[in-house]
Amino acid sequence: MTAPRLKSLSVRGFRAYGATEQTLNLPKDIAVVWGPNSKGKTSLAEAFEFLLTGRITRRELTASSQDEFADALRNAHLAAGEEVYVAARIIAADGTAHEIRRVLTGDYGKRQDCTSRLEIDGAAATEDDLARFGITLSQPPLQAPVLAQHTLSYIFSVRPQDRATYFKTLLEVTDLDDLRNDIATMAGELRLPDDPLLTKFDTCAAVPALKPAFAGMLRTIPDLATLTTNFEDAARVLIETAGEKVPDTLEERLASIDRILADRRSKTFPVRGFERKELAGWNPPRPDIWTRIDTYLDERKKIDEETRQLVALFDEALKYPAISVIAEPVDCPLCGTESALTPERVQLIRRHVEDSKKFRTAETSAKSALSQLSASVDALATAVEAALPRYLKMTAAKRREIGFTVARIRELLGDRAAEFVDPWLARVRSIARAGAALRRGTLAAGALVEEYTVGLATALDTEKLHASFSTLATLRATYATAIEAYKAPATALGTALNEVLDAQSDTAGWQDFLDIARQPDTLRAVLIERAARVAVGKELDAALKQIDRAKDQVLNDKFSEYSTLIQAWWERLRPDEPTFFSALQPRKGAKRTIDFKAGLSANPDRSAPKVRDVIAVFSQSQLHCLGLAIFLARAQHEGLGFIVLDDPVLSSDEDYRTHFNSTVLTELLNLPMQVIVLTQDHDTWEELENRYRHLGISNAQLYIETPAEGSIIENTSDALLAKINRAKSLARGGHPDLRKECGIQLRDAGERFCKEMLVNDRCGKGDRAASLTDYDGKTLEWLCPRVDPLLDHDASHPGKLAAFKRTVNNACHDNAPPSNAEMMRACGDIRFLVKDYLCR
Amino acid sequence: MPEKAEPKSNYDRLLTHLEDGSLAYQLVQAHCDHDTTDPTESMMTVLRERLGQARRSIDGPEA
Repeated sequence: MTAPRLKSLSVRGFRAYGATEQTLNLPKDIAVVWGPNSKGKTSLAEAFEFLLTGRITRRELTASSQDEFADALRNAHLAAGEEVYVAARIIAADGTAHEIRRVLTGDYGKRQDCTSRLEIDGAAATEDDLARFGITLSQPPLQAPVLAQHTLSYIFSVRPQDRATYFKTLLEVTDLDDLRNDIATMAGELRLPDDPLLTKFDTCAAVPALKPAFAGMLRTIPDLATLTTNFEDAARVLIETAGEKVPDTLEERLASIDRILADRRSKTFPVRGFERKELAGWNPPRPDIWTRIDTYLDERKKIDEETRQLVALFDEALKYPAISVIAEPVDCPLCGTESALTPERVQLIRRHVEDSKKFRTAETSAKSALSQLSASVDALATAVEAALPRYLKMTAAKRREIGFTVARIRELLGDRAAEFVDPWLARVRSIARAGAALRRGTLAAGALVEEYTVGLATALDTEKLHASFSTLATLRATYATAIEAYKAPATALGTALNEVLDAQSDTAGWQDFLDIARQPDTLRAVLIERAARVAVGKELDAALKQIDRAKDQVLNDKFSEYSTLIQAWWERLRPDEPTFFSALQPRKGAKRTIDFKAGLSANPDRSAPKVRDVIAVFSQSQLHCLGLAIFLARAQHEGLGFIVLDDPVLSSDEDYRTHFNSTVLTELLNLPMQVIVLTQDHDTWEELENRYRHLGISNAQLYIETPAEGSIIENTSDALLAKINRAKSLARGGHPDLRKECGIQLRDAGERFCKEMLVNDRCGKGDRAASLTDYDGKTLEWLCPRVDPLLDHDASHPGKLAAFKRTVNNACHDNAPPSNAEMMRACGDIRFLVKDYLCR
Repeated sequence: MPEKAEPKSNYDRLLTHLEDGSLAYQLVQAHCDHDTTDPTESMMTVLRERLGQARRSIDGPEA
């Protein structure tokens, strides 16, 4: 992929350019455009800028007030409604051809920016789309690759700290700053979340009695066996401190410490009053319990009370073989009634006995179900009671007697009382109320079950029983919720209170030790995690320091490289001068402040130079030259495909114009870079045409026929037309000297016209050797009579040439030069003849 | 002929000033990995791997 190239630039209605589209042809390497002052050079340079950026930086850099540029982009003479645009045909970096076009949609206003519409190949586009073709813009404010006088001076007129903006893409390392900040942020990921076990471990490590056992663990995290041994040792020390016998195993030792601790705390405050058990699980009765009770009720309905009472008698009667197998009526064995027992009656008795058996089975099952309900109620009642803190199961009098009072708790906690006591109290009331309600519910349900168990044969209301247990389930859920809410504030209060009590009883840290010693696996894991994070955190700190140092080195490298580039261009512009550009440097302690340093040497070889700031020691010419070198270095560094240079060399700087025309342009073309030079210096225009003819240089000229018509681009290297154009620009000048100079130019143009006419005539007659040089030294006096016969398109033409000759002779001699009107007429006459006879 | 500008990114330049294999080098390299769509996550992966190594190192042969 190569850099993009411009094929042509077309301008219409923009700045000095009028309603007729003007097109500048651009070959792939170099083009030079000549134009006297005020003929549209800067407008052309700004057209490039407007095309690429949609604005002109001159407004931002030079206008004392932005109001000054109101209505500045649209040609003042353009009719309303006429479109203003700049367009370019380009060959993109990938070799494809495209058209970029920017239409002005709103000119600069007094307090507003201009607006425009960018199109690429006819479709709406943005500046970012230009990058697809390899056209990248620099940092604002000088984004476009266009060098003008105001951009040359910009770099030295802004404050040193603002120069960084110009060099932003070259020297900026904000991407590295961002990277560094991202990495620094990652340190937060290494922070270990607060872990109570680690806090307790650190507390233990600070307890004097435990220090010896914990010191080693702070240095190196032991394996699990060693950790257990360390805990055994630590536990032994605590028990010995209490003056008690030391058991053998760690578990026994911890239990011993637990007891010692509780005893000591109780001496100051009855902490056991807080003790409670977890609320045991409880499930509502299973559905089959209710099914069994319902079955019993169904069976009970089938048999009346009298039958149930006679069932035993029936059962006995059926045991008599004489009765159980009768085929004929027999006497009743109980009352002796004759023929009382018929086969039908025996069958009825048999059915009563059978029904009675089902009833009894259901009755047994129902009794069992009621028993299970009773047990369930009892279990719930027990769980409710156990889950309550002990102090809630005491009377108020008993609590006062043992010293378990809120006032005492507040006294022990001192300033921290409100923090722990108030939340706890708020939850105490909840569990007391929920517990009491559940307790009443269990009593009521228990009583109902008891009532139905006793009066099973007569009472038993299933719905009532069902409702009672539903109520129990609801009350238990409320109680469980209250208990859950109570736990956290109660634990916090207990912990805070224990800390106070332990401090008073010289057992500070003992509880923490118990807690960590019972979870050696977990403790070891969090100790490893903490150590690993600390270690990597230190590595990350070191990495950040390395990156900071490397970032500084990157910046130094870039300054050094860029200095080298600028030096190279400086040397091409001003070789071998004793005062030279030395370096581009960040100011110490202020990296965004950039200084330009000059070297001043008294020796031809530039040895032992004194280094000074260029602003202080460089002449205006040198500053101008340095600005050009900086621009070229930036263009080279950014790999731009093309640059536009508007009068890059001051007209007073003949001493380095030669270096620019030869060395600098050659090196730019070698990069390779397409170069478009706009110049008011005619000699430069001619020199470049000769010097770069082998590269197919394109020459163009700018002139203005009428202000309304605006600047005209003539894509030609025609020396004759150039002379006429130069003369025309001089003809309008009010000063006599300008008109004299105009006369000289016109005389040259007239002589050239006559010579070409004569050469063309001879060539037409077969004289292939005819050449302009054949007429070297010949003047109009000699030439005109020989050309007159050739002016045969119209009888008036010889007269035009004669009038022309008279005017220019008057202008060239010592007498007063002809008027502006006469000079303009002479320009028009010769231009007419050139176009008519020489097909230009 | 002037030297052609070297199209070296700031990250490439930074890497040349960091010790090969160091944590700083690994982090910058992860950030610049062309295959990644989330440079920050790539750096976090490096950090997590380093954390894992540190854990194993501290845990010892028992782990």
